[in-house]
Amino acid sequence: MSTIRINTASSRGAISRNIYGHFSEHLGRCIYNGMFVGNDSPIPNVNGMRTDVVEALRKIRVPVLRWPGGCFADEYHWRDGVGPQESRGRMVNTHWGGVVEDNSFGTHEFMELCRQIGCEPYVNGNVGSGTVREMADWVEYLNSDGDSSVVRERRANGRQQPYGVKYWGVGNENWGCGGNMRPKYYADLYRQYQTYCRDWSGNKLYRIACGPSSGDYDWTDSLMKRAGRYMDALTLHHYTVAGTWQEKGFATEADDDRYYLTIEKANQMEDLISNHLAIMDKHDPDQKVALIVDEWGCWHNVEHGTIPGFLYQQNTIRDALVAALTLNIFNHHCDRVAMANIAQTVNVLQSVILTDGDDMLLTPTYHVFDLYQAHMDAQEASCKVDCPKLPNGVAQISASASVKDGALTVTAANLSPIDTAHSLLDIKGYAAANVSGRIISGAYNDHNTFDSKDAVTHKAFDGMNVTGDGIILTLPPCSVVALTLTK
Amino acid sequence: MTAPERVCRRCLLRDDPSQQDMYRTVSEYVASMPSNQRADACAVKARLEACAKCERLQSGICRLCGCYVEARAAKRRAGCPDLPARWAE
Repeated sequence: MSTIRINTASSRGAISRNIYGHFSEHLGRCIYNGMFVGNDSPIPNVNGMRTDVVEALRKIRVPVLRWPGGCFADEYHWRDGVGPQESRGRMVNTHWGGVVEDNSFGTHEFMELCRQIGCEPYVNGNVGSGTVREMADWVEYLNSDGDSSVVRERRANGRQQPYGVKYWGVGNENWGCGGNMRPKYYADLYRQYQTYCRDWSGNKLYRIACGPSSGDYDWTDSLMKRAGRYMDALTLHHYTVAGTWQEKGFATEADDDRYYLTIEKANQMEDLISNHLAIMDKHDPDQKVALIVDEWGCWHNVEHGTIPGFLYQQNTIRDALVAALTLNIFNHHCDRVAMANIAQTVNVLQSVILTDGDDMLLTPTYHVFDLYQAHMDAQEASCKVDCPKLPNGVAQISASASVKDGALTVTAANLSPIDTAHSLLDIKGYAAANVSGRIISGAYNDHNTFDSKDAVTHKAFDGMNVTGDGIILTLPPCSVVALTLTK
Repeated sequence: MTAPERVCRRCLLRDDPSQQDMYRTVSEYVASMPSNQRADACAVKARLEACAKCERLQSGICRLCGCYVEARAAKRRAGCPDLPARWAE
């Protein structure tokens, strides 16, 4: 029998709610038709935002939303997206499908979306093809309460009070789609651009520098060495690609080999975070700079018959297990991981929601975020697992724990596609009198469709047996469980 | 000097000379679908006629759903994502 050892007296600190953040890019049907349909749409909306999608995102208490990209961010010129709709700039979205972007969703619309969801905005500025002045003006437009021309412009566009945006990204993937820069060059640009991103009207901007892709440790080293003292956080992007970029496999068509490879690739997040943090600590021994994983998730082949540039993929139990494993890793690193943003909220990559016309479904990944809600702003509790390893070398069980408002939450995933896990829950420092749980489980290709929206959902978990030694859990293959323990 | 390839913004894939590789890929996908999941030929024809008149069509893609319309129209259970739907159910 395996053991999940929890000690509430040992903690790395609070788990930021922002670890459960999301990402929305002008890509495919994420923004347009996924979240935003416009005032005149027959699809029910409030100020152009789909009410069904907003309601679903409110239920999982999305804490922060990143926008407008992604690669799109470094080709986005914010003034194209403010002012009267009829005079907004039009551009070709060259990164994603070559479709015409009419900028009907712009700054004010994004802030309205965040207001409706009840989340913090995280705006990613343009370094790759923008200017220092353009970025400086955008920050002032959003956050200043002064009487400058740019603030008057905002007021003329209908917003009197500053928005008070806190999270500000200075470029995105500048090692690639954001300009193909070398780290030394970007480090200098970062220092320059962030200088002019002012703390307007009492709003303290949280400055976020473009960090590495997966295992590019040289980028982290170079950035931290040259620009570490000018940033609040450095980003990391890591996607789970179960194959090559040319042949990633389809979301719903995994076999055992693809499944195990998926879990192995997702589990690399642990080493990536540890290794990048070690490099960051070398330059920042006081650990003032946080790590933000602002793009993560499974990246599969696009669904059959859909345009490659829209990155539309289905979402299965396999994706749910990747989400559970990754979120547990983030929880373990809550002392340094300040935010994470799964890519991307609706209709793109590992989405929590898929839409089709006026129809909507919740994916298995959505249900994981639902089950993990209790970790947000909770005090992390030490959680160590003794269990067998899968054939790919990854531990069969992934788990994390936290305490909030007197309740202990334990989330655990059985990553084996064939073996049930019997695990003793050994808890120190917390005398639980009551325990309840929810579970998501199924075969790894199980998923929801518009004909069968609840094929995968969460339900009451009854695999608990309270003994004198502790609680024995029976976790089915491919399952995610959230337990709530109270005194 | 080579003549520029004509791009048809409001065409189905089959009618766009620049999209013939993608048309072959989509056709192969449709041919691979189980016959009980495929719409009958008359329905497909009517659906594609509706798509061809729709302002949402761009280079063979429906902007509302991101599908190549020739793939979506071939699926028996698929519907038009527009409101009101342009395909007869």
